Amino acid sequence: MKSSSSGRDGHIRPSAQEKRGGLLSVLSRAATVSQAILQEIFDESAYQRFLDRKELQSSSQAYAMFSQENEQAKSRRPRCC
Amino acid sequence: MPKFARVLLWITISLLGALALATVALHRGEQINALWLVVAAVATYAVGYRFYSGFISAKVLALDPLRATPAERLDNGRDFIPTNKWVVFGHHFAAIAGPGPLVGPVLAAQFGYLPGTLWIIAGAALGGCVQDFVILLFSVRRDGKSLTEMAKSEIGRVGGIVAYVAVLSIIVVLLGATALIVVNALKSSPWGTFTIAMTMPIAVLMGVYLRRIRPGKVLETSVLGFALVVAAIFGGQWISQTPSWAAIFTLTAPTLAILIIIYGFAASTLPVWLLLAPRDYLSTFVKLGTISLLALGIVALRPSLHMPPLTRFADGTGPVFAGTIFPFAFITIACGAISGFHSLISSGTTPKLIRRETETRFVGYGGMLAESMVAIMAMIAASVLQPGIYFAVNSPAGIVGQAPEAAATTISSWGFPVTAAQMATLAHAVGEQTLFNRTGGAPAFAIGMAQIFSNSLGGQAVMALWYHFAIMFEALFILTIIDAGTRVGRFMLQDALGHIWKPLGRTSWYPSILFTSAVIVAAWGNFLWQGIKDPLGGINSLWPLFGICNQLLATVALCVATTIIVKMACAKTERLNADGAAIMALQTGRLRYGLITLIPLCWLVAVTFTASWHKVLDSNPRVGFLAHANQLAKAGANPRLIFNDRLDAAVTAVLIVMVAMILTESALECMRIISGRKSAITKEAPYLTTRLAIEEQL
Repeated sequence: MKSSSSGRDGHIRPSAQEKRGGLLSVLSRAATVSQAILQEIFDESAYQRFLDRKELQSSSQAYAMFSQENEQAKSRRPRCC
Repeated sequence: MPKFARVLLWITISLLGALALATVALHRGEQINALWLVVAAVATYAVGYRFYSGFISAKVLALDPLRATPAERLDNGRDFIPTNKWVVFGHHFAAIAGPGPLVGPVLAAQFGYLPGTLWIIAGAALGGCVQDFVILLFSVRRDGKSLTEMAKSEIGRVGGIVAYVAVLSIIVVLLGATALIVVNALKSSPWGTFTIAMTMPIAVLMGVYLRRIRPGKVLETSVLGFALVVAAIFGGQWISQTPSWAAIFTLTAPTLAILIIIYGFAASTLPVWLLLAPRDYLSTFVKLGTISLLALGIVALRPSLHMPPLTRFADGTGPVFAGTIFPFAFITIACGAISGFHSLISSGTTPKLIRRETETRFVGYGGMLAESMVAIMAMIAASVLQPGIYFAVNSPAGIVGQAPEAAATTISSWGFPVTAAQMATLAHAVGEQTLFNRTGGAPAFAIGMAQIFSNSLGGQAVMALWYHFAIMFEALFILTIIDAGTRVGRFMLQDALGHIWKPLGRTSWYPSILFTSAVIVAAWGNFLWQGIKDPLGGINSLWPLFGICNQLLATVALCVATTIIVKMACAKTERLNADGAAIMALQTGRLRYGLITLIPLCWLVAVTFTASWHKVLDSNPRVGFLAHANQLAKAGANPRLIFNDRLDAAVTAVLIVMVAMILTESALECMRIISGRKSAITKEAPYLTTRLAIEEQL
């Protein structure tokens, strides 16, 4: 699991830089959160969780399996007007 | 922060919001700055979030931070995952934000900026946000059940069936109406057509890259796809300036409609990874980037609004769509104020990600506030245009005439001066052959956005690039909705047909896929075709029909929410059964909380039922479907056009009857519970204490 992504417990893990405090820490945290949001929206976190769950390394076969598993859920997800 | 400072801060925010709202509402005769709209919205939303949603959380819903959510209890690492609230917020916002909050306000700007702006602000704070919030919470308390399932279990069988039909109808009408917007934006536009055509091979390329070369690197692939789309915009400029290529990509509305119908069918039947998923990623990437850019542009440039607060078309004679402010402004702007479609998202993926009950407030109420801000920005983009230009772009040829001079003369006679030469110069500046009769809202929004952007980045020289960027952004958005929507509709149809003949319900059986895709595509394709053949421009009939469907779905959602709140109120009193007097006092007090959903419900019933009555029975042929059909019949018009009007009338009537049924059933259920003839039993999942709170304290 990447340090900047949202974990299975839902927490966004702070990096060492974030722990220093001050403005840098706030900006760093904002960047971390933004990155985690993008990774969730773009299914990168979901893929990572899939790899963790199946104990696989990232590969085109693993991604094909992930796409297949997610196909039904993704197809049924409405997109709003 | 000390209490005194907090009180002072909120008093300041409230006063600032009141001042901004007064300025927006009372200023007459001179232009106002767009920032007044932004300040009015932001201050109202801040107060609404802090106090109104706080009241709903604490008193009405009694959010419990110690109650385990389905994301925790059913955590499977796939659908149910406890997720950080900011991440859920982003995910939820990306799912609810579509072209609706951009197009609706642009169309409603024909009344002036005031009615639409007030409806967006008040509708969101008191209606849309509340709907999204309570439906999300109720879904969380029911293991992530969908709106249809909740309607069935909390109201009854009729509730479930009506919700199902309303969802399918809204999808079909939505796809027809939004496809028409793309057709109107791309017709006779080789630049725009080329750019959008290129997004398809780009999406396939992204799909292959993602699958074979860099598995799982979606953000990287989306950045690459975005770079290719920007290259396609530049390529489109070259295409439009090369006569032989321009001729190939200069397409008529019927040709574009056929191509979009074929695309919808192909996208529904091809593997998701090849076209749908990468297009979805690309669209989301462009959407989030462009909305952020537009917000920055408006705040940095603080443009003046040229549109008056109220136009003469408040009387219902507007060229963009016919009908008076009440009820038509309120169904034209749906997604920016209150949208039934959101209840599908709030009872879809989002409740399965919520980590703590208390976070539903931030995600549900807050997510809708962000969406509403997008609608305010769209209203600003439309209102920065000179009104003459706005009406020249948005008025159909059937109203203002086909010839530029005739159209300019008609629009100028309304008190909004514009000349054919002025429109020709603008068309040249944005790289189009003409900007007259470009109905649908997308081109007007693109011109407004290009005007805002080009004033800060690149000047008039790059206005054409910004315009085509905006058109690409909207068309990409809409085509993504078309392919995703066709698939969702196909699955819903397969689920229903599976009850009649099992093989049709098998989502992987190819004959079933082809058959159900064809049915869904034919359904929305029919509305699209009707739109391009409509002498009144199509949007005049399709967008109100879509608005009615969407608000009717919101009516269903609010019926479900009100019934549940009534059950919650009465369930509490049953627990205190020992003292009769205490029961009544508590019941009356808690039942009042039902007003938070009952008031928006009553408003929506008034709006949608009045709008439906007008659309079906109004004697003005520009408003009433049947009156228009009769007018066409008398003129000996094509029977197909007459049939289309009668079909629209029938669809509207069927929907309104079904919603009347769910309203009646919901009201009867509430009365049975209040009178004590039925036990107030909500179908919530069993209460379990969260372990996340304990872990966080450790």
